Amino acid sequence: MRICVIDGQGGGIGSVIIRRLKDEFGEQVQVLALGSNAIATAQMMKAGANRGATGENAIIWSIQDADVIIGPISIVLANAMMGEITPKVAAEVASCKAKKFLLPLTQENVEVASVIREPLPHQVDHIVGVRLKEMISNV
Amino acid sequence: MCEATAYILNNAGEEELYLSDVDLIEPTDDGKLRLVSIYGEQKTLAGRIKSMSLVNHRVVLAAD
Repeated sequence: MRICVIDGQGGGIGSVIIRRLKDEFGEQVQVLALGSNAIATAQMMKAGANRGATGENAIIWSIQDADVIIGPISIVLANAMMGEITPKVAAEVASCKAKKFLLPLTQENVEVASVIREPLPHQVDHIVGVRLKEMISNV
Repeated sequence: MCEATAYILNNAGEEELYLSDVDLIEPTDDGKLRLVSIYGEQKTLAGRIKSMSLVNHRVVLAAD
């Protein structure tokens, strides 16, 4: 299974996701770190991603073969992360065929209503330990 | 969300929001406090931690 983790800015959220993915599945899954800037990608590579790439074209190209995309909800919001998420990236991520798990964490003027307010590691636990586990066991 | 929120005491002794969604607080080499949020935003403060409530996810800071 090919999982793309997308993040920008400092790559902190993506790093938490990748660390958890690798703890749970090890090399059973291939994790691609896709950063909207080089620092974010480097941080995610340090967290244990198999491969990494940076920028609009790399993100758009790499998600085409993804089975799953994980990241903050900002990755489908045009001009989010201080403009790092280009409208094209947001559109391509939102419309690609991969299953998307989006964390309701954003600094934009967008609030996802009716979400249980849980710390980031708990939300990542739910994605990796419950939802993704179900997907992988059904493959 | 529900990471820690850092507040700072102003001159009137009231708590003001300093940084939301704090992931990391660490001392710097020059004796300041560096706070980093889960979004990568960071602030450095010449001051100290006055109190921390881990259950309530609150950190109160005081500037020197």
